[in-house]
Amino acid sequence: MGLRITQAMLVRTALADVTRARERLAITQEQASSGLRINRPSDDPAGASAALLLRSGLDAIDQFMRNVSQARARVAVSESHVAEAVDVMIRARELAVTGANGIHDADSRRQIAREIETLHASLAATANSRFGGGFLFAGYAADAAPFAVAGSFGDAPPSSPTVGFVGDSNEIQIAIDHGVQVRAGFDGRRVFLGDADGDGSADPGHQDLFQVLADLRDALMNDDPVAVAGTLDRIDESLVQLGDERTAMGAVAGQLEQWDRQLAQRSEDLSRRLSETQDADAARVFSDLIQQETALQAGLQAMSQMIQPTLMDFLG
Amino acid sequence: MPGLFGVLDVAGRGLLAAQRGVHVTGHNIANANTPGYSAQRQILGNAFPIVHSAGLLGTGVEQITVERLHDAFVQTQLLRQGGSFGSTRAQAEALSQIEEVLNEQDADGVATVISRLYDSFSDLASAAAPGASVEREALRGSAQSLIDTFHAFDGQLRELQGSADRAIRDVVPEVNEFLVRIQELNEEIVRQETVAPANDMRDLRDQAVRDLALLVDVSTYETGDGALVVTLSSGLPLVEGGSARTLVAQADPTHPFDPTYVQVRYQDGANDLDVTADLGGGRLGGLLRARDTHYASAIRSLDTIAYNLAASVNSVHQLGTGLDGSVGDFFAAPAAVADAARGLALDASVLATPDAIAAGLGGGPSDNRNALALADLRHAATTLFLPGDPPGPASGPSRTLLQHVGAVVGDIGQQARSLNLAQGQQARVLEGLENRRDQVAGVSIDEEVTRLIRLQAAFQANSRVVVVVDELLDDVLRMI
Repeated sequence: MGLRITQAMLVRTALADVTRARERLAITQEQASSGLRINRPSDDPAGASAALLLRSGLDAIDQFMRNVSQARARVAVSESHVAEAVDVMIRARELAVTGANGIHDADSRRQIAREIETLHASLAATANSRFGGGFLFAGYAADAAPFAVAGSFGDAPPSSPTVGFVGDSNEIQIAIDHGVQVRAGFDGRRVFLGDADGDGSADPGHQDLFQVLADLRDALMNDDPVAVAGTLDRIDESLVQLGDERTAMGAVAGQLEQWDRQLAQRSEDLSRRLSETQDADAARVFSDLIQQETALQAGLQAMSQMIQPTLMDFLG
Repeated sequence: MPGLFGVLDVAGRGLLAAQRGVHVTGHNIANANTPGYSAQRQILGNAFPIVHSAGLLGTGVEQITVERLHDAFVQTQLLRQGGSFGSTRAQAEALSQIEEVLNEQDADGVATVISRLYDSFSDLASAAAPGASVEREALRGSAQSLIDTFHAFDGQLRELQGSADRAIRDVVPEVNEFLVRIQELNEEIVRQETVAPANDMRDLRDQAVRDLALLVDVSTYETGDGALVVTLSSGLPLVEGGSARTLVAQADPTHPFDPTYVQVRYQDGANDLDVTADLGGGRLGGLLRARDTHYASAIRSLDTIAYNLAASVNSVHQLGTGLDGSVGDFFAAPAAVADAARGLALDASVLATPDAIAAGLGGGPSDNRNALALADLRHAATTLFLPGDPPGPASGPSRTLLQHVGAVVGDIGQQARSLNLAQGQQARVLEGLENRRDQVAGVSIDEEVTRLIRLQAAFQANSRVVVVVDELLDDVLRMI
């Protein structure tokens, strides 16, 4: 039996072809308008899964970059406060040198002692400075001032207030990468009291800065140039101690800066990979779009002619 | 008697045959666009000759029968492909719905909200202010929006599952209508075929069976008297002998998702069987698979993610202490993987006060050690609990939670993709089969018009014979 091509077949085939052409066009149009090659997981299951992980990787890096800037601010502020302490101690050293000089009399030493008192107070303020509402050198107990000043300056006999550490010596860590944490808090007891081991007195080679200032002040009040000169070495040791802390902070700051660049670089790499994974190739999408529109029009044209002539048209 | 009147008889039969031929052709042309119509052909044969001394004289033409053009093989193929297509289409619809719900490409999905939760843990760890009250509130906020997202997705998937169930309830009576219709057509065909081929009734029955096959996977065979036996693919007869059986959608109290979800039961006078598991093909089979496999596993995947998230966060959270000294969970501990997404909630203590969030290990208000550990969960690969694991040990793959979300999304995308491809392919095969059916059985207008011209000529020629006989008779009469 001969096979026949019927009207119904032609219409069915043309309709199916046009429908498919429309579906393809719709997919390309979606890619063009969203700019994405993957608009749902089934467009490319492996790609969609990879894109999801890349996005969450990017998100993690953003978070680490936020943490880095938080840590940088913290470390920078800590460093500036240690720099203030250094200024205090340098001024104290100048005053000690002046006070140790034999040409001064008891009155002028008393004047100098008054200035030391203000230096002592401003050092206490520095040691109790805050960052973002918390006491910077208080460890985990950041809700209370870590340095407690007890007593006041007395003149006869000369006496100075004692400064005790009531914070804790934990150093706050901040995560700046997967498995990488930096020190963003610094033990106030070690920085200002020279007491890293927590035995209540300054470790060998370290100084309790408040005690040094108090001893200097008392020596000045006692009009004792020899004792005043005796504090110079201790002031120098304090400056070394503060210098070491600044170096450590600078090292952290340097690490943070380097990490920031590294994270930015990685973020760029991941963004590029994400874009390669999920973005549509604009040039291709638009050329596809034109091609598919043409194909659809051709299909529609063919369909309009489908009301095709039959033998009927040629019979009288 | 061979005579002029005998010739009139011959011409008369010719006229009648041509006229009936026009009738058949007209019927074909009228049905050129009727779905399922098979072109009919007039079958002619020589009429019985009469014996005469001059030899056997023909008595003209006779219409033997009218037959339809039919290809039984294509019909069988159409039934099978129709069943696969109906099933695939229902499943592909389900998968594309699922992937729209879990689509991370255009909206905030599960991975995004989990990632934000980890971010909030990290923000808590980097907080400057002692006690980090702002960060604690922010963390509660992102946890709450994570919970809302899980609830919303779970709700959407269950809603889709419920609509698949409603569609199942709707399809079952449709199936029954077809069964009754086929049964009625069977009776009509058996009755008509004691006389002649019941072409039109057979077309209607073929079409009804093809439509039925889109709904449910069936096999057919014909008995000697022309009745069609329709069975489920498992062999249970749906139409046989004088009666149609019925399928019944009835609530299944043991259904793991919802006791109001239906099972499909087979009922004839004697039996009442649950045939839900036998229904693989057709729209009905596809909807059952969508409801009990695709939606079910999507819901359980979400549950798995929710359970493992809550379990991992809680296991770290319990190690720390809150600002208020409390020790406890962050999320309300889920009892089982099943329904963990639906039940995801903050622990009552955290809900009561953000100070219960265990950021530290018992140090001061700026102790952030446990918050650091919580933020580290983002990168922690753990052996995942699967549905059915707890209280037993976890038996799933070892990956981070976000990797698992990626795998789930990739998996669903893969399934959606293969079902879409299969659907497209099956649609083409069906289209090809319809075309093959048309090649054999379709009505070609050209062909019918040609036939019409031929029949017209035949009619005219036969009329001519009558006219000639008439003139001859006139001549004879004039001789008198």
